[in-house]
Amino acid sequence: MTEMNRYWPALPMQDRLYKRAFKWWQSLHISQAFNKDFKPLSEFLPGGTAVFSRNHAASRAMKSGQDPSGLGRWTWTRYRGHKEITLRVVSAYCPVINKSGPMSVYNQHKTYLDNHDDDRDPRIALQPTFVKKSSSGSSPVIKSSLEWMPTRTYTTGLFTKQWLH
Amino acid sequence: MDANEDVHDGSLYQTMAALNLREAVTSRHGLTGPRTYQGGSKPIDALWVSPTLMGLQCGYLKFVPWFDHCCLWIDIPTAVAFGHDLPPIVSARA
Repeated sequence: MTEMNRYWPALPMQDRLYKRAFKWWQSLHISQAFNKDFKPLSEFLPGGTAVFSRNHAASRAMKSGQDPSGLGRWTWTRYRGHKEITLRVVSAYCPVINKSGPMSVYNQHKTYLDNHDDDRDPRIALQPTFVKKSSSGSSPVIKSSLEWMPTRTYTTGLFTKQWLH
Repeated sequence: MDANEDVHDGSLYQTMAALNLREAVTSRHGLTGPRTYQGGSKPIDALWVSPTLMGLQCGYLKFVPWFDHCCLWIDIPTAVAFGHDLPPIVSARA
C-alpha cells in the first residue's frame, strides 16, 4: 500500500496500523514507513508506505526494512523460500510534483533534502538509494499503487491462491 | 510503486530497466494500458518485477469510490516465488 497518509505516532495505540489489523487474520506481519521527521499538527500526513503479509505469508517473513532516510518513501519485506531462495516485496511511493501544498509529499522530501544540502528534485533523489536497495540480492517485486483494503494487496493475490482457499 | 508518471515513459522506467526490472502488467497486456489514477490518462502505477517473475497473471482492478487509484495485482505461484524440492527420481525395475 502507498499513501497511508497517517502520522502514526499521533494516533492512540489502539488505532495504529498493527493494532487495527492484527485480528483480521490468523497472523499478520506489517512493514510500514512514514516520514518521521515531519511532525504534523494532526494525524494526517500525506505519504507513507506499507507491506501487509498475512497468515502463511507472515510466517515466511524473515526480514523487513524501510527507506533509511526516514522519509517513508519505501518499505520492504523479505520472505524465506526453499534453500537460498528469497522474495522481496517493496512498496514505494514516488511523489507527484506539488510545490504549492505545504504538507505535500514533494515538499516534505524537498525540505528534508534542503536541510541536508541536497538540491535535487525529490523525484530524482528517490532513485539512487532505491536502486541500491532493490538490486541487493533476492528476486524483487516492487509493488505499486493504492489498495483499497489489505485483502486486495499483492500478498492476497499470491497467497490466497496458493494457501488459503 | 505509485510512480506518478507514465510507467513506460519516464526517468523511473529508465532506472528500473537498468536494474533489469520490468513492469509486469503492461508487459503482459500491452503498453497502452488504462489510466490507474482517476484524474489521469495513462498507467502511473506499476509492478516492477525481476525477469523470473515475468509473464505471470496480473492486472488492474476496477476503481472503487473511496480511492482515486486502482489496485494492481499479480499472482505468483509458490514454487516460482520460493522454489521447490523436486521429488526423487524412481528407477524403473524390470
